[in-house]
Amino acid sequence: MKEQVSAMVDGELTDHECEDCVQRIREDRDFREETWEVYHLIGDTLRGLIAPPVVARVRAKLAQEPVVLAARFAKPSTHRAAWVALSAAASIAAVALVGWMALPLFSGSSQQWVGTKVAESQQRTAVPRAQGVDDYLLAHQRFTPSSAMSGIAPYVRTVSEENQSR
Amino acid sequence: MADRDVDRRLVERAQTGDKQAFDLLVSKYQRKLGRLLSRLIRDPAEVEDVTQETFVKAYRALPSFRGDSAFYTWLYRIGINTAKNYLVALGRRVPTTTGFDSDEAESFEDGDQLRDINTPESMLMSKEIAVTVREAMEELPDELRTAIELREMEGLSYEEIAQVMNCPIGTVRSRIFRAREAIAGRLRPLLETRKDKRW
Repeated sequence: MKEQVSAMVDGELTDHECEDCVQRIREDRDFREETWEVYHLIGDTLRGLIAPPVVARVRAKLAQEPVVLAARFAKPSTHRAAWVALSAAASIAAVALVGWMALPLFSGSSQQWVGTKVAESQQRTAVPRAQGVDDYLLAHQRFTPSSAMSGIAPYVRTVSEENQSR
Repeated sequence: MADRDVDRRLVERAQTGDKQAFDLLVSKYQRKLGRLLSRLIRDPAEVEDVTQETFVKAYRALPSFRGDSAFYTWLYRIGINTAKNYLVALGRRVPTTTGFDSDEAESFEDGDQLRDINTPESMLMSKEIAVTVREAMEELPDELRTAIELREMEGLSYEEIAQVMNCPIGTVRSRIFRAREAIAGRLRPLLETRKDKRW
């Protein structure tokens, strides 16, 4: 186990070994002082770092502190990554669908389609009407409900006609 | 598992209420942090106080640590802020931030720190430890001494040491452990005399 602590000091343990090691060091204070603390003291001394330890003072101070409880690290999980990928794919699909539906309005084929419809409507208007119908419609157009602004447009038109008549 | 991962493991445990896990981080970084703080605060006794205060603040702030940076980088920033606040409270001049970037936290090395971070009372003990470690190193077989020097002084990984020494990684691990144990065997009686005492 001491050799594992030595490797842990160097960050050279596997996850599983590290867990066992931490457990042992936590539980056995003498073992911790004989290994973890002394190994770090040796390393620091070799690097020219030697000073009185403050760990005992910090330990005493922390004994008076309430236990901290925090959320664990947000580890990048494959489950979460899959959700992100699916969300992105759904967004792209939605944009593509809307674009595909709107495409005919802006493409050349749509102009052709509109032109065809206009031609058809012109053909329909070319049908001869009964005589006097046009005059009748013109005289009563202010009452027609076909306008989206049926309450205002006829009035505007009327005023305009009156101005023209002046 | 890299060194940073070991820290993260310990921080995770501390965040779930394991104070002893945080204790291991204090043991690991106390001297390194003290050395860095000694660049801001010259009095060794005050460096000790601020080092202690830094660890307490870090413990209280553990819920806010998300692991975006290395634990020591985060600790370093808390230490610098604690030291500056300490100096301001005493009405002393606070050094500019130049030269205290967190990038430096991992790389700063300074020679002859024995004087700077030791109180007169601790100086004798520190010297004894330094001499004991040096003598123990000199007595080590070459392969053990080389292995631990490459690790502790050059910062090489086990894999790199294995390449340098032309041996398996398991052998490197074993040599470094044996070197540490040989040195620790000389140190332990010395430390025993000061157990539960401040140097």
